[in-house]
Amino acid sequence: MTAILAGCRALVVEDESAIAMMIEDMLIEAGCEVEVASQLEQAVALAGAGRFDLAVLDINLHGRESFEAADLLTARNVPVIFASGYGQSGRPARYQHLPMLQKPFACEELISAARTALGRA
Amino acid sequence: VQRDVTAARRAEAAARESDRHLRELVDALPMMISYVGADERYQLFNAAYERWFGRSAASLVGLSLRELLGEEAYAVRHDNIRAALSGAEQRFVAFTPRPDGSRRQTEVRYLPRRGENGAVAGFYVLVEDVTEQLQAEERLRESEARFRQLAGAIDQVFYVTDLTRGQLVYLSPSFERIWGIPGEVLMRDLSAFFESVHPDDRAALIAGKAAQERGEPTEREYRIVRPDGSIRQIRDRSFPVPGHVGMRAAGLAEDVTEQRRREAAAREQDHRLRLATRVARIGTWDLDLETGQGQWDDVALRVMGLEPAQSRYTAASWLNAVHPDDRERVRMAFAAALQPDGPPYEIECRGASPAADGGPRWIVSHGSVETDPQTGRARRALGIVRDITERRRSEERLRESEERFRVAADSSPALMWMCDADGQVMFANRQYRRFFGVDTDAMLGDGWRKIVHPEDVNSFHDAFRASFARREAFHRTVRVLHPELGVRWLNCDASPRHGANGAFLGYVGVNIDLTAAIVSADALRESEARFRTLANGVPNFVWFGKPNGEIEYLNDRWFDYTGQSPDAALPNGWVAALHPDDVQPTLRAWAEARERGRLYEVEMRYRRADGVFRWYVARAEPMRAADGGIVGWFGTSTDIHDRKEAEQTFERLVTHQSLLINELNHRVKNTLATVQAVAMQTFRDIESQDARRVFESRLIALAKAHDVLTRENWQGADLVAVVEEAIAPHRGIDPERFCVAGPSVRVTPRMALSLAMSLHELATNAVKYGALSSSSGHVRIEWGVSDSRRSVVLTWCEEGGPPVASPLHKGFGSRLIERQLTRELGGSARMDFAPSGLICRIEFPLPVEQEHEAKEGGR
Repeated sequence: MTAILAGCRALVVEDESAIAMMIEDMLIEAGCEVEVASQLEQAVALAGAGRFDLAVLDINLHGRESFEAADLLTARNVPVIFASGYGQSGRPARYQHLPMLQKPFACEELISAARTALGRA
Repeated sequence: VQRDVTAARRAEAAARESDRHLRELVDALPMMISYVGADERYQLFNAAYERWFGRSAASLVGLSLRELLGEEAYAVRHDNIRAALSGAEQRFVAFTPRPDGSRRQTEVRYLPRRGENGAVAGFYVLVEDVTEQLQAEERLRESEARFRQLAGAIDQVFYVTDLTRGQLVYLSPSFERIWGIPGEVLMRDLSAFFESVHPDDRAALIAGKAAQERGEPTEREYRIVRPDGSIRQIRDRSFPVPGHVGMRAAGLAEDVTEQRRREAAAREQDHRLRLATRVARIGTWDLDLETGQGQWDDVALRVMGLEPAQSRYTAASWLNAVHPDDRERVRMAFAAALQPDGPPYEIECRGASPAADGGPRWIVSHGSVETDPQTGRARRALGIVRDITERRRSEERLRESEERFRVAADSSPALMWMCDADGQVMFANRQYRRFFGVDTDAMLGDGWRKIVHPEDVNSFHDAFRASFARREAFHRTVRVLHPELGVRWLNCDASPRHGANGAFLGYVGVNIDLTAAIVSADALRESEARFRTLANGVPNFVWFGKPNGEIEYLNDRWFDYTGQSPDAALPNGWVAALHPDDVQPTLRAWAEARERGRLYEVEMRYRRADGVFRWYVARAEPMRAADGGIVGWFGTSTDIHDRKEAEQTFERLVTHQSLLINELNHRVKNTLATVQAVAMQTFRDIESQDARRVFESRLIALAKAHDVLTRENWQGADLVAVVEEAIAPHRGIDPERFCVAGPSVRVTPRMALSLAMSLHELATNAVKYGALSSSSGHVRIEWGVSDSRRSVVLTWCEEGGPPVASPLHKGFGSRLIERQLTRELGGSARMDFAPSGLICRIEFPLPVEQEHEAKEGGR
């Protein structure tokens, strides 16, 4: 399964650094280049300016929602995968079609969701 | 000498020249000039003589005065001629004849001329025609005389004022009559005039004087106070008099007191008449038959329903104001009235425009015709119009009412009759026929005698006659003979009838078959009493609604609770007791229920007398007549306040709890994710990635179980959901490899977590070593509730996998299953490593309070 996502640039937005590291490891293992943001401002800056093929966003960043970054990414046609500890009800209606991973999730779940989002399934 | 002669000639020539000039001048004068010698003969004439007498100057020379003027004119002048010849200048007026025999008045002057000896040699004659002048003077005199006569005779005061000097020039004698002051007083001092004027009117007078001084005509009215204290109204018109030195004004002042009084009286009269006609709604009309022009006054316009612009009409157009169907009739009546000795014009008709309510407008019109005394022809018609719509309506209503009475009487189930002032029955309704099977006509007169029980006929008759004589109401129960039912008791009620003018008209009576009525009346009274006792006995509000939504009955509970009086609450005032937020929903539900004829049920708050609102549920059902039509609604309102309060408290708690649990779950899961992440980092260096995966999957199974519980607010979970969630990660490619069957059973949160973890371990094992490690194997998971309904038995049964070799007993999974299920939950788990596949039998107790739920459902 190594290099399934080879050459893919991924943005990981996660305020819990241990979890961020884990997701980063999962994606690197799959062949991605990963950029991590733990603050909303940083996430928004990267979402608006950086070049990404994929983004994994935690919804709740220190009590603030990451939707601003999600909007910027979707506007630029970057596939977004949400990750949250809340249930399916934790996101607004306009994101209902986007994939959502329930924390904690297995590496396989993440990679499968990423492949689906990138159309590499 | 030569020189002297020349000078003399020159002088002579000059004199001749001068003489000629003089002659020409004298000839050009219009007056006659001549010179008469002492012998009374003319010596010189100017041309005026030739023009006057129509003769040449030459033929006149040498004529004597007597010859030229004639005997009569000479005689008139004789004395003057004598005096002139004796040296006295004469000036006199005398007639001078013309050749045609006419006479002209002339002013004649004789100027004597003395000779060198001093004696009178003759006289010059100057004659001027003054006929016109004299005539003018004569006319003036006559005019003056006539004027004075007139001024003295007329009632008006004529005056002429010299405004420059502030003096009266003339004041006619009637002044004294009107003012009561001698005219001389005013002639002496004009200020007496101002003093005579009423103090309130003096200002206007001064303004008028200023206008006079500007040379403007004035017209003023003022009051004067006569010396006797009486007040007169004066109308004073003045105009400037031209052609005089200084400013003069002539004026006429007249006493208009009576005139004004009459005018005021006429106005008052007119006003009163108008007021009267207006109040009486009587309009007037007027048609000049000679010009064909007519007019309606404003009241008439209102009566006719016409616009103000339509006040004028013509003989040809006025019928347009009449209803088309009535025009011919009205036209005929009017034409007849115009005939000599025709009938008076009086007609009732409908107006062309309808009454305010759209119904017909009825009008009565009366008129009188004025005829020319000479020709006897009608020349003017005058009349009034009055609105009689109301009267006609009430007449119609009366007719209708009579008709209705007859219809009502005939359709009434009671026996109804009427008799006239003589006691003879004149009307009996059809019920007589239905009841007795006899023709109603047979009842007229004293036909009633035939149906009354023979034993009662006389006493009934006597009793009725006694009441009749006193014009009193009559009540009596009498036996009658019914052709089929035999003897029936009739209750006879009769009352005297009176006309609008109070005249006694007879009796009207209603007879009721008492035999049946008594029973039902008692039953009704009893039923009502029972109902009211019941309605007031219940703790609910009980009410009746009419089909139109009005409430016609509320039991006493309502009045006790709301403090409303029956008058305040019925029929619609009960709404005031609703909570403002509930008014619209309640009324809407009430209207909808009535519209659909269905059960009405709505919750609302009613205000108690002390202002507290309590929740009620109102329910109403339609009451239907035999034909299915709704005749009313029977409703109750029940106090649900405590239940409602509890519900609301509960909802609040649930919402709050749900939020807390959701937040808690989020934190738990985040924590689990963090644990996962930390563990991953820890496992990084360990070669076996399997350990990492096992750990990860266990952690995730735990998290999923949390999700199930969170969905249920940690009140427990359905076993179906727990099983489905636990096997979901392994169902993956082929869902058919799991076969799940069991009823819906609620388990406690703790059990749910333990079961989820256990099932995860079983599934992981199956994937690694058991049925799911081969392509053909599958797992059956079945459970059921024990007969005693105390416990659940769940079996995990693997089939079709590779032969079972290595037991699970040392692993984390088996230990977990054993410990959690056996020790913590008081259940049991038994694992049977049969060669065909692992069979795990788990039994755990059902929560006591939820036993009954296991009966329902099934899977």
